[in-house]
Amino acid sequence: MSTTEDHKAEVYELGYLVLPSIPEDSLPNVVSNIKSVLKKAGVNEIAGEDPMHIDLAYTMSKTVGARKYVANDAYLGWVKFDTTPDKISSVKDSVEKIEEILRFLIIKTPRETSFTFAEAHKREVEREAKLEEAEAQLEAGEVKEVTEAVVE
Amino acid sequence: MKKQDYFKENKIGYIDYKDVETLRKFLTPHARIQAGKRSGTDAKNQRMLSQAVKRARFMGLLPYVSR
Repeated sequence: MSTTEDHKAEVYELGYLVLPSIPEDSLPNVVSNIKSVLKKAGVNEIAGEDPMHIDLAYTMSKTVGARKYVANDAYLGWVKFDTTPDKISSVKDSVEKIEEILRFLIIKTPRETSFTFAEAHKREVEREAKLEEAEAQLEAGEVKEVTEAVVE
Repeated sequence: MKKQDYFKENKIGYIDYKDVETLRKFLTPHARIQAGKRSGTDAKNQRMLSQAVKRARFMGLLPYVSR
């Protein structure tokens, strides 16, 4: 028989979308709200990234009271933490109550972080720089060929 | 010749739903998940891939349908 003490800690990740109607300077408030919810649940934070603006692949909506929010873009953030499985439902219930959150997802995940948006952005910039360099080289080569042909 | 498993080749042990650039490689132009036979991924990675794509769709990172 397993008891609460027997529960082993699992690593979870909370990914969330913040409504685009929230001004960018009040995003830290939303993040601290989420973190305080996690702290209250007594979880141990491992990693995370602050929300960043993204365009959504499709239109989403959320109804708060009598108001319906329709969103084509949002702020996406995530936080990784470890906790025992019995606490996760209280985390879910508390996050559901945060009105600024458009949608969220709690999943089990490995402890090591293999992907961050910061790294992905860095890779993208490097790739673009390489591509531009290759294009410039190609162009220079072509110009040289044309000049040679004209000289001949 | 049999196609190589992208995830095995690049030593990717966990497919993250936020890694949209990688996930896009395995979608058809209609945004459906490519068959394992077509993408060359083994059964285990194909299951992980489909889970990641479905999570990315839910979070609005990938479309459910396209065109």
